Amino acid sequence: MATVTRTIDYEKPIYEEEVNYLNTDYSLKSWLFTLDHKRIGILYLVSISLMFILGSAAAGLIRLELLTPQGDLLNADAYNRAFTMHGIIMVFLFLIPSIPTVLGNFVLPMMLGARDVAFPRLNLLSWYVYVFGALWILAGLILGGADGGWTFYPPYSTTYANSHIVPVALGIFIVGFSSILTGLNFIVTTHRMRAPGLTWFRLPLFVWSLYATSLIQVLATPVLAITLLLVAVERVLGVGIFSPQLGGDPVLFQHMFWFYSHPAVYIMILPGMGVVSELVACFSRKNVFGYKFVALASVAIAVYGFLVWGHHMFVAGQSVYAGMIFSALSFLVAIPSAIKVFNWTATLYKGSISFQTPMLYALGFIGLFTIGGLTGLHLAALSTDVHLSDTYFVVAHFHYIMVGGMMLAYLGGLHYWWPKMTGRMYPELLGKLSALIVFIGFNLTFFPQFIAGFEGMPRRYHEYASQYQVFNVLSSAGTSILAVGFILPVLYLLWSLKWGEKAPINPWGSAGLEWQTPTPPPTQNFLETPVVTTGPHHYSQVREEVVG
Amino acid sequence: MTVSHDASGEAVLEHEENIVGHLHHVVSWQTYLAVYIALLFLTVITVLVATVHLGEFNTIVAMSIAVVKMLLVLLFFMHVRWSGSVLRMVVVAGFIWFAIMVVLTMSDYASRHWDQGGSAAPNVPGVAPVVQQVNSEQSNH
Amino acid sequence: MADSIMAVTSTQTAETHHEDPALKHQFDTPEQQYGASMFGMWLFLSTEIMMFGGLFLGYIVYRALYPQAWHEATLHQDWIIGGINTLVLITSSFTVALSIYGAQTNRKKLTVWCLLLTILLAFVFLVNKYIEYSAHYHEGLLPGKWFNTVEYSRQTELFMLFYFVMTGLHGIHVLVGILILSYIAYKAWKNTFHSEYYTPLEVSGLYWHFVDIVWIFLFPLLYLMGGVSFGGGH
Repeated sequence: MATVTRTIDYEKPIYEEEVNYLNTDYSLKSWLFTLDHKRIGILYLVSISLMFILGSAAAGLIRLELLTPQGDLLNADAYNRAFTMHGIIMVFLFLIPSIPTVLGNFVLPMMLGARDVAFPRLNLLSWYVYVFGALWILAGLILGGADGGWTFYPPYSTTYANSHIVPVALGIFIVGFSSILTGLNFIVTTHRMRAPGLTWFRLPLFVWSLYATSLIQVLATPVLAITLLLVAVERVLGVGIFSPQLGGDPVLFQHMFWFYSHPAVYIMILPGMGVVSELVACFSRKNVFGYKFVALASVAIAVYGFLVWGHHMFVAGQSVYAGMIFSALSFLVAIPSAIKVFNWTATLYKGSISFQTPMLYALGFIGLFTIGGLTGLHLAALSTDVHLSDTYFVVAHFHYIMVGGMMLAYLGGLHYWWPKMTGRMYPELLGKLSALIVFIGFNLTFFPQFIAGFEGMPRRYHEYASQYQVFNVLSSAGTSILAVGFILPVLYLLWSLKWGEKAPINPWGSAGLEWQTPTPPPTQNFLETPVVTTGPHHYSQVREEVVG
Repeated sequence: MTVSHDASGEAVLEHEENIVGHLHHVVSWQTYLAVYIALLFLTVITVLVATVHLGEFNTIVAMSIAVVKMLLVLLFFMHVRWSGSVLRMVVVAGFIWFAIMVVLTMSDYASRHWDQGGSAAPNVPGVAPVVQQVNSEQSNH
Repeated sequence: MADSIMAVTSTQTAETHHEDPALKHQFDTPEQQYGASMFGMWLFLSTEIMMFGGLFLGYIVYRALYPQAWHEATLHQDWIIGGINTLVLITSSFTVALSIYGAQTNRKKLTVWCLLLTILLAFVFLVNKYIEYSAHYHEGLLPGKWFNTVEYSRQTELFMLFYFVMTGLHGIHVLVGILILSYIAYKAWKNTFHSEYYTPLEVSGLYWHFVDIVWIFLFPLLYLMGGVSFGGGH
């Protein structure tokens, strides 16, 4: 077998006349029965974007209602359904799949130098399971939706709710299996499908973060599955294991629910951290500072994240002593996150920074995630949590992480890999503008909520005392700006598919293995299996300048 | 991690054995039969022990025997005895995570009535409480 | 811009795919495929440990809260049928292990017969469960509106909920196992498996052993905790 050393010429664009994964077959059947991880990533992109629109509509209703202290737009029952469906759709149908199924599916095998994931058919099945579960949830939504919060606490959810809990709960149960199968696939792929020479500590940080996320998906999601099943059983039979009249304990539900749902929030941030590592390295033209620490911190967050769930139950009836244990453990879990923030900052230091759109999102992430993380510490402390629990402070905290963090990282990653996925460049000026609008709109929406919550405004109430109105007006105003910031990318990204500038192979001068293939890639990704001889993000060895 | 080359010059990662262990390891039918008989025997013992009243020990003995049976199935029928380290870690991880879930949850239930004699179980009429409710000023939160 | 960012030294991929129809396109060697399949199945079994684990967690919590009631509730179970079912499942694990041995040693007849025997035993298990469930129904032990609250305590109803959900979920897994093993028996009969390739058979076997292990724990926990007397199970 001949050994060939090739130098890839990055100036030469790949024209669409060449066969790639997109133009190899245009039929609908080829898309719906595809085994190509790249196409499956696109299928997910379309699905979760549709779900995001629905979840945003629910958010819009909430913020419109909260413009005034009275319950005028929505009555209490309708409002309860609005925030419940907003939470369910955004968490289970958008944020949890987002980066892993769209960017991860697309990029992970290429980052490993592989032709596909370990189990392509399982990958396609994951998507169909996701769609099937989403349809159940949508059916519940159309019938009138569920209420009681995405947290489904009994005995309300099991006994007293008059809404469509069962189809929605079963829908989430089904979607959970999509998550499990994706995680399983990624773990086996990362262990088994690495190209020769690609050792664990040569893996890009995005892979490490996806691996850590997959560990959580595999170990935590089954507990959610059984918990929701038990809720459905209790609703159908009229009694269940959480029924107080049988001696059951509703707090047991909370233990089981949060055993999954706390690690789930790490599913909703770790992939974003991985994207940020890639972006910060590429747009500072520097290796990530403390690579090993960042890689191991990802796994540490995944593992530690399983030990802290009781901090959601400090005021629920859990014993104070258990509360103390959970509080102490919750402080510890902040450490690996902080390590990452310090390492990204150190990567930026003395780097050659360029402010392309993906980098703007990455920088926004670092700042907003830090705020979100620090406010998490307020909530981890038992004493302050008693005051802040179930107020808007909590709402602001998790939106800073989920939207300010994960969502920005998702947008950053989408823009970064957009040329690779589509062969087109998005319009850079519009990209930068949207990022700025998102940042401003986001902070205007959610920062006032910290203050409102601290001042005592409770969450999940459709009406509130008039002293909180100014914060709510600011917040709702911010939502309209944020909406513009989200709509613009949808428009210009779609526009770019037909009219965007054709992308060169490696527009960012990135060191990633996924950029060593044609853009867009052929179905089998690599023309020949690469052999890796260097570490990841090795920008210090590269003498190029990024074309801005 | 070494990258070696086989006869055709292909770079090969040497970790297949680490994951699955000796591939296609054939376990003899005699071994299977011996394990089967052991499992039958242990089941009978479990029932016999249940006829004797040992108080709390009944549970401990029954569970211990169940664990031994599980280990027999895992190690021999499911070939974990001959599996590589990565597979063993997967098996162990599942049990450790289950243990985390149980231990931390039980830390709540075990300690609820430390605080002013509050009951861990809901105070429901007709349901015998675990601990007598002691009247106190302080509320459990 | 002339420097390559990474020295990409490529080798031609070995063209083994066309020779071995069982080798999927994403894998380079049959060993890699076998290893990946095993790894994937064990990961799946870990998820099953966590799913059943949630139920075991609930059982443990309530047993700690109501030890007396929990012991008494198991007296309503028929330990004889439960015991027979335990022996049935253990035997089925043995037969499934033998069927893999048959594939490894190229004895197709052994493989197919052992798989059929496994399926038969699985059916026996389900028939026994049906008998038990009907008995419980007639005794008024079904939780919910059929429960005889006059004769039995509320905590017995709580226990019965665990009994039905745990054995019900387990029973669904047995049923799925029957479907899987039937398909595998068909493939075995069609000469798909031999000493160099029997991965689907082994993977299905792992699933079946897991189902057996769950029952190994369910039997003492649901049937024997209250003690056993030979004078009459129920």
